[in-house]
Amino acid sequence: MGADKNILLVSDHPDDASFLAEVSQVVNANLKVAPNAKESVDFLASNDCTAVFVDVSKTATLRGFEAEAEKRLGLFSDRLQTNLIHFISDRELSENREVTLSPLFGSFYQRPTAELEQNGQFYGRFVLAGEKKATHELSHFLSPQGKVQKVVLTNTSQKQEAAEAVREYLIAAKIPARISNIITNAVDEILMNAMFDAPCDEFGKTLYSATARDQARPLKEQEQVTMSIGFDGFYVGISVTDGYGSLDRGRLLNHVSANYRDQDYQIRAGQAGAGLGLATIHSGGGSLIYHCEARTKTEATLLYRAYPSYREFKNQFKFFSAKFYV
Amino acid sequence: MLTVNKQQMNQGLLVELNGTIEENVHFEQLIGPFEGELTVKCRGITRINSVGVKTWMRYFQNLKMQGKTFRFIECSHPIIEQLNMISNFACGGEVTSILLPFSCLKCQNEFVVNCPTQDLKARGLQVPSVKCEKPECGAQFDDDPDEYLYFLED
Repeated sequence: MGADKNILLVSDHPDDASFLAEVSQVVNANLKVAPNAKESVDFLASNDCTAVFVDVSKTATLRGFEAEAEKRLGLFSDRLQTNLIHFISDRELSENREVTLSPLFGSFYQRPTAELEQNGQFYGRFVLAGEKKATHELSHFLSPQGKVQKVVLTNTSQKQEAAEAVREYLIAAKIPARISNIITNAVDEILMNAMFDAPCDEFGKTLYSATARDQARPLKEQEQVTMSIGFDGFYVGISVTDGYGSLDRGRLLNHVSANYRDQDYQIRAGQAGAGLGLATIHSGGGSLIYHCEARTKTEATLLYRAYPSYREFKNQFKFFSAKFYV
Repeated sequence: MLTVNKQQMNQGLLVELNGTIEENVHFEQLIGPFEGELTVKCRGITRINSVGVKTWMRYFQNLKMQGKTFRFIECSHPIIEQLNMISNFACGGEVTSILLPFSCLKCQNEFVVNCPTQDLKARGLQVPSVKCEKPECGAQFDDDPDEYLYFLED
């Protein structure tokens, strides 16, 4: 290919290589496939990689990769930043919670079983956007005909209005009502997080996380929340940005992978939805990217493929990413 | 926004919920005191956010602690989603009937069919096949049956 960038794949699953071939093409990178931890770390030790994909379907493979990487490179090596790491699994994140405990966790997707070309190209756009480090803004994911509209919210009371505007936008775009409601709910949750959970003082102490969510409050300067929405006829993207960059990685990963099916949900006072919102978003169908620049901004991006039926929508290829920049 | 229509029945109160359940919803005020059984018609609930889930569970858990009986009828997709996601979302209330979603790509039509949960259980959680009024309709159940009916499994 002649590219000077590399993508490393640690997997012996044939579908992973096909998918990554598409990703590599979009990113314009060479694809190096390493079937085991030792070979992959050998490659990493002497080559810069734009992205590293690891099949973590088996915990032993993940642990083997972590151990080899720690021994040879150090877990916090520049060659192994979590923002470059992509975990692949044959199970959903909620069925794969142990991977969120890995110090290498960056992004995650359940291995797609269909449309490898289409999905690989889509994921390639995500990897490419990540190279720029500064942003994952919607224009990276939508085709040029997908116009992006932006609105700045200056009061918490505008949340419902903004969510309703999103619903109307989706209905106008002929997205089925049931799917529109699911996307609207996800937007509602990330707006609420940006308005109530993000604001913090200079020591990182949250200012409004215990405040009742029905309390109207002006959003002054840094507290203002920007929402963007775009649709190119194929993908819908919505992003919400706060001006704090205060997202807690551990809490995020714990909430997004939570499973309330097997144990009763305990209601606690003063914690709003207590993580339920994030778990709902990810199980609801689309991809979720958190891009957090410490003390500057957190950008939450939702991406959905606009299928005509809910069944297809629900089973669409999706990924989750938690990118943190100091 | 949530609106509540109330109707006094022989055995208790029937409340019909329409709209969004979120942070501005206060069930104690909207439903008020009642005697006998509470029947909650959920057909018109279009979405419920995480704060709404918490509000819902707090309200119905309190009812249960007071010894009140309640049941849910015509549960729409957002309620089914929570029933499937949160093991104790019904808070001890009976889910009597649910809405089954169908869609037809030929007619470009989405519709729901109300189905008693007892019937679904009697059918081994098999979703009935349903057509809309158009003769060429190719409606299909628009979800994964195992996932949608997960909360009814023993």
